[in-house]
Amino acid sequence: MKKVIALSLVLLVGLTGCMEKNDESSEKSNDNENAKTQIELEGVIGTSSFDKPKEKVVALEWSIVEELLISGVQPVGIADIEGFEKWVKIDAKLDNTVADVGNRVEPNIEVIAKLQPDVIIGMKYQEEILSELEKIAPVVLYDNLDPSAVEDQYAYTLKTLRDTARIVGKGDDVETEISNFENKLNETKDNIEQLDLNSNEFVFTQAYSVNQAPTFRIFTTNSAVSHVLEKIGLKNKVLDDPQATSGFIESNVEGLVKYQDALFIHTVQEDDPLFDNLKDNVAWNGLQFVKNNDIYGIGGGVWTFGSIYSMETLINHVTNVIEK
Amino acid sequence: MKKSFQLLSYILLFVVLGFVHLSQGQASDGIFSFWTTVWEDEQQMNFFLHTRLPRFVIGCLAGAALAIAGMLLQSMTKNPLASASTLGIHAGAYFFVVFCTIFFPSIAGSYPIALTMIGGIIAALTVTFLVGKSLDPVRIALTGLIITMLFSSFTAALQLLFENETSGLFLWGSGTLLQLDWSGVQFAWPWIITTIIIAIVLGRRFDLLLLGEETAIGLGQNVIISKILGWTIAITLASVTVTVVGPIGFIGIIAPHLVRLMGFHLHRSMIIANFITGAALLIGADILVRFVSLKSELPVGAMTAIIGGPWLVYLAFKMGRTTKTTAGVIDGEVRIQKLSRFILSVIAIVFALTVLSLSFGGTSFTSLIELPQELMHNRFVWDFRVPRTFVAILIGMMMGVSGLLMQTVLRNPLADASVLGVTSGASVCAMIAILAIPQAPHIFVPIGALVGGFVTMGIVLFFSAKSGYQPIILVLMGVAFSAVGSAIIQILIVRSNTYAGQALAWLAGSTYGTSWSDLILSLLPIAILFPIIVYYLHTFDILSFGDEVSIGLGVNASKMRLGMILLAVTLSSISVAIVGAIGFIGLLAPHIARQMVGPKMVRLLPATIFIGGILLISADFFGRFILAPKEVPAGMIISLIGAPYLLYLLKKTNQVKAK
Repeated sequence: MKKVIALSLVLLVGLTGCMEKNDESSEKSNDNENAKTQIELEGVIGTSSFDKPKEKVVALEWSIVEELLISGVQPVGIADIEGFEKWVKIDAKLDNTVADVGNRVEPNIEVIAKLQPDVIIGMKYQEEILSELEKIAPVVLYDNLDPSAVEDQYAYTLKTLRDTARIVGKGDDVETEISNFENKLNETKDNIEQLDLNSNEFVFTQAYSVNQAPTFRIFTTNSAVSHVLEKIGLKNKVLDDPQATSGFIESNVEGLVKYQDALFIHTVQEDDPLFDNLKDNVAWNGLQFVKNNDIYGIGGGVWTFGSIYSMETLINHVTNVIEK
Repeated sequence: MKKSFQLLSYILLFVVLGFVHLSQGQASDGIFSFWTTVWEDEQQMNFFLHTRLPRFVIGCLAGAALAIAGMLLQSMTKNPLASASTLGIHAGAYFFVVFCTIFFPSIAGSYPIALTMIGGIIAALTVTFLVGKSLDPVRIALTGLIITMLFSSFTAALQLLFENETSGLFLWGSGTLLQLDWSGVQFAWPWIITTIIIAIVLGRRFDLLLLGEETAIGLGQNVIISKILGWTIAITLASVTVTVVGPIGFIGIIAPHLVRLMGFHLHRSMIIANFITGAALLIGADILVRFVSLKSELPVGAMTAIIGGPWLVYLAFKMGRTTKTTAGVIDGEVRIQKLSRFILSVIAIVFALTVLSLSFGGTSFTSLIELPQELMHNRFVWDFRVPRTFVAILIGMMMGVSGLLMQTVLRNPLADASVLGVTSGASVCAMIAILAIPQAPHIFVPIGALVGGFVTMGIVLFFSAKSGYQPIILVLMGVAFSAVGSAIIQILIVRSNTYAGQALAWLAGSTYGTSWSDLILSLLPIAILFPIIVYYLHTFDILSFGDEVSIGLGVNASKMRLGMILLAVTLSSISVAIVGAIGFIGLLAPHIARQMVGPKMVRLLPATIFIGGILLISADFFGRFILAPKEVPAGMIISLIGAPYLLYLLKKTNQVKAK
């Protein structure tokens, strides 16, 4: 695995070298020296303009940590390292020099201050402590509740990835990562088209047991997960509430009837006895996708709110189970 | 004749409710079309037979069990307000389940009923042990309430620290009839039906008990055995219910009351009437819950609380006409004679704690010698640590004084902003600002808290005005509003669990992220309100002797009382607005002070102020220290320290009463 990373890094460096040259030439023609270094962010809370890239970053949400790792930058501090390692399984690793700054909800302000970061990046829900954080360093909070962000969460994932990368001066590197990812999506799409699936419609759910009864979080069309799966040639069967701010709606076994003709793709934590409980359930066994054996479990550890590395993990897992 | 007619109409209503309930479901399209299509559609039939029917049956069983448990507990304690939830049995059972789910998951999976039973029994034993021989109804209800508070705060602590492990318990924790298949019913029905049959057989025994203990003994009955039987039956019913559907409150209060209103007074007939009424009530509540939201499951327990809260207010209102003030002068001990020396030493402790707290930054301590320099030159220490430390002290003081005022005015040693429902009301409005409108700017959170606190107080005062602000009525109103408030909070949390972590932290109360502006905000009320309180100190002293004495001494009792409550609510609402719902300090600080300097306000007030400050600053320090760099909310630390002390306190005040 390390070799792969190293190799791709070398490739990246090479690629970016080329791209930078391109940029320089184009900007010289524009005759605008400032535009090259000036970083302008749109639709963020806090600081939206930087005159030069930042090196030491504190990331307060896991998706931002992922974005930094994609950009090839190790943050100086992140919130809840333990949780990140447990929930976000991606093709990149945190250095063990990265400091833990406490929980995501109440990060430890003094620990952040001691790290002397150049910039702090977080989410809208941390706005409460914006003024405190701004005393330490410029703060960028991504407004994931903005209507335009909610409308297409995949596009928003790419936007914040680009923003984060630009803040650390890796805007171009990340473009290659994104195009690599989109190439991968297209490849997967070709592969999937050749498969003889019972249906190309899907319902993607993250499920857990409540009171031994399963609860299904069903991802709506605006969610990042749904967009990615649609890009590999599948079609989301869930057409209700395309503006759900969280990107999913909830359902029980009965509610799945509406989507029973689709492929049932699920991620469930490994220790959850959900499907054992459902084994002898008459209502569940009467559902079409159960009868057709169109159930695809992609295991736990897929962070459905992550960036493109998480999405890559997602499609790897999905293709693995679908191709079988 | 009238009785059986009423019962008949209940049965009819029950059948109608059954038809509506069974037709509800995510795959259903309306009552009438469901009942016409279900016979042909195999899939609908599957749902009907295997998910909806179990839900209906478990609802009937649970409703019946809760109603009968409540009725028996009311007979045992001769208290119309007794029920499995008001006596703390539910909270105890729930705490045990959460505890074992985290630390002994295998036990929690295999012996759920044993766990809830143990929890329920422990809670019930604690309540009876603490109440002792004085069977004062209000005291029992209050003790049960405090036990509930204790267990709930333990549970909240566990949930916050083990968010991922317990997330599945949220819905169950507020009670839900959600059933996967028939297994819940299969598990519960033998227990519930057998226990109910035993209760019917023993009905005569309980009838005698109601005649009074002397009469019962005179008629040759062993009263102790009867009581043990009654309690066992009630706890068994409650625990089985908690195991399958979670803690659902208020059915055990409303149903027996309705049955008595119908005119049933013998236990055998009361049990049967309660069976039907309880089942109908719970099914009705479940219909409402799913009417409000079909997609994401909402807790039915919250719905019963929203219906039951006002009911409790009504009951309290009725009791207000018959009961007179029973609370007396709150006594304390004068252990410390030299007040000035005591105050000096307390101030010294505050100072030492302040220095300790100021020297701890994030993960390490600064040495004492370097501290002054660091304070002056390190901007972050000056910006974050200094205001936070002083806000903790000031808020602690405000909460202490607020509690002292409420205890004096209510002449009730267990009074506090949280008991009066003020904290709950403030929390609801603040939570709405956090959860329901996530786009709203954060300034709405404290504003919401203030509005909520005052509105709740307004309603509570309005309803208790007719009884001349009787202490008991006020407390009962407060309890009722707290219940409604926490029901709304539970609904909000369940509905938006993406932000539950943030809401939970706020609910637990935390001095996190306080700034200089918060410090100024907390200095203002102290500067304005504390002098007023000092000015009226002697009047407050008089008021604590009771209405008759006060009026005799020329004090307008009602007016003074209103004024004091206003002051207390303002203080506590402002502290809720700044640090969230930190409880217990308002209870603890005045008590510790009273144990040391006695009940005289002139001595009590300064002692309370500083002890309140000490409590919150230590809680804040430990919260930052224990799991650094992770922070534990100060409110949680306070409840963990405060709970054992409060138990001791309860035992003590009740002993005094029994003499």
